[in-house]
Amino acid sequence: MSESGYQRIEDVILDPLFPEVDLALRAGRHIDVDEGGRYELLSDALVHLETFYQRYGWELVRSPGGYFFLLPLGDRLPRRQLSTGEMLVGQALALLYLDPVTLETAGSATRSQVVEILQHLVGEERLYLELHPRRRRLDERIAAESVRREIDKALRSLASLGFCDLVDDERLRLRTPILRFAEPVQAMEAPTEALARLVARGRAALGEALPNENEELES
Amino acid sequence: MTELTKTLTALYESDMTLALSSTDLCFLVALRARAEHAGFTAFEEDTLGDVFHQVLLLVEPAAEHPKVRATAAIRRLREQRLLTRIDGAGVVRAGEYALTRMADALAEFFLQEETLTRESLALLTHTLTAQLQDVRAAAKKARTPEDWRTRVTQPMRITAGDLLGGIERRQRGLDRSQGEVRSRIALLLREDWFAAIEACEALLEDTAATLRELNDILLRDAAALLSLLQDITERASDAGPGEGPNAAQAASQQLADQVDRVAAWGASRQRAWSDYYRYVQRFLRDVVRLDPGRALSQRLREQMRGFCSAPFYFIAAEAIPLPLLRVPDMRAERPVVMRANARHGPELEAVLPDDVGLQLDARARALLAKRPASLAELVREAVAPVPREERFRAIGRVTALCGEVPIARIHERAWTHVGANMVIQDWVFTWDPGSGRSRAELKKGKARR
Repeated sequence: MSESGYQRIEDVILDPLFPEVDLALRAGRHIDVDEGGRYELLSDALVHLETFYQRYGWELVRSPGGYFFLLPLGDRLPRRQLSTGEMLVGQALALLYLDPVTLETAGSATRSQVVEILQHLVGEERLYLELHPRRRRLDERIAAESVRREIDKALRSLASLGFCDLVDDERLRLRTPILRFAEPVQAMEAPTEALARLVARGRAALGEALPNENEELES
Repeated sequence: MTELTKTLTALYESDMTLALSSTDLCFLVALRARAEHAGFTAFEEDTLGDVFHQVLLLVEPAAEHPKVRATAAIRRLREQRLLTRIDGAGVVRAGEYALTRMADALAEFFLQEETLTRESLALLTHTLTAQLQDVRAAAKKARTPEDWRTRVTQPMRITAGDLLGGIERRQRGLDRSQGEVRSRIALLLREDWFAAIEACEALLEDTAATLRELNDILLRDAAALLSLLQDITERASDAGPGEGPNAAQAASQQLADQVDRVAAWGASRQRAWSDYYRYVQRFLRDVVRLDPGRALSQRLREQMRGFCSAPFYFIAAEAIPLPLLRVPDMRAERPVVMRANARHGPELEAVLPDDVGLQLDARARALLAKRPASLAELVREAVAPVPREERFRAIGRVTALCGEVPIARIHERAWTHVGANMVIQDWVFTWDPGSGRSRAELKKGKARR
């Protein structure tokens, strides 16, 4: 019954696909066109579902990139803030998505590529400290393995949120919602302004920076 | 030992290796091209030298001694069974050479590869259909095993098999060509980005159209081919058991499997290309068209570099964990863990009470109550009823009962007869005359007070 035109919200709720779509959205999943029937249901029933979720204090967001997700607007319902690892890995995946090289494999990337991008752009030591906020210095003996483990953890979490699919131990497939990580720099306005706008709309939260190496040495 | 095992063993034992330099490979490909162009089936030695010289001028213009190098190259190709001498004249005159099948295959790989096109596929399937119709007609008329072998089985195995093999080979060629199209699209975007959109779309459309046409032909013709093969199998089955019809059935089944494989290829490649098509179209629409200056990647890189100094975190919904009510767990009393008592030492055995010993004790105590003067006096009376052979142990038992009786301190105690040729070293008892109790009993009484 998800072909088109739901007359009333009851029709949407009675659709056999609705329970799984609802549960996925409530668990934070981003649903894109590759999810077929789920995406169709959301597209067709958007008007009804926007009102439906508003009553709970959620916003059903339809991104210009063509994916849906549920955004908690108040504190009445549980919400989660993505971790530092998830944010860093998500941005690396978005960068891979934008690279025409990934186009050749229809969005297939490897974990090694993710590690390489992060090490190149964030720096090996900084990456280790960001992923292990309780540690104060780089332990070279375990750093590589430990960083890899944290990245794997972040990838698993991002996959459950619908940003990518894990194909096997090494390969993963990027999905359109990964472009959410490029949202603060998508418009031509200054990134800080774009970020402030996202924070004001409840889509992002600002965090505190870890002291950098120089500050640490001074202290 | 299977045929393959025999071949592999023989190949290993022959110590055969292939080692070709780039120049040798170019020479081989040039020879194959020359043969095709001029319709040669063999090359004279001078022609070989000419071709090598031309190749050398092209790939190594500064090379010296071309004739010497040509001779060496021809020798290497002959040693590796890529070139064979066919005139059989030995050293009498200049030889005549031909490329071997292996050289042909190698050169063919590097030359323009055959790919499946609508025309080639239609021609191949049309020829195959005609061939199978002939085979079906022959199967109707076949009477002898020889008829089945020469007019049914062999045409199916050789002619029809080769035609299907040709389709499969061209399919592999098209697979490679699709891979090249993907690389080309990525390269175009990397180099020209926004300007490459039209070229990319044209490439996508071309390949999609080719695959669509091929799949249509395959779906249509595969059904006709399978129907013909089914007819042939039924004719062979009707002909009854026999070597000829059985072989024809097997060959027909093998061809049907091959036709299925060829048809499945079309569907699977069209599906895969369709996924790729959609992905690229989405990429062109959402990324390239919206970011014609390709600034987004650069801005995202900057964002990542600055993330640690100004981090931010996206917000997402989180499912409420549902409280799960449980049935109270009525834990059963668990018995204390303990080990069964182990018996140490030998098993005890039940015995009758020692009446004789008890009677002796009672008698000795009664005599002690009469306050005998010495141990000898006590023993003599106490053991008198005891049989002779038991008397030694009985004396010991009675003596043990005198532990509390006061004994006089005498430096050297006398040895006294107690009957039955037995002597004991005697004790003199020192009973307290006033109370009638022994000294030990008196001591205890004092202590109690």
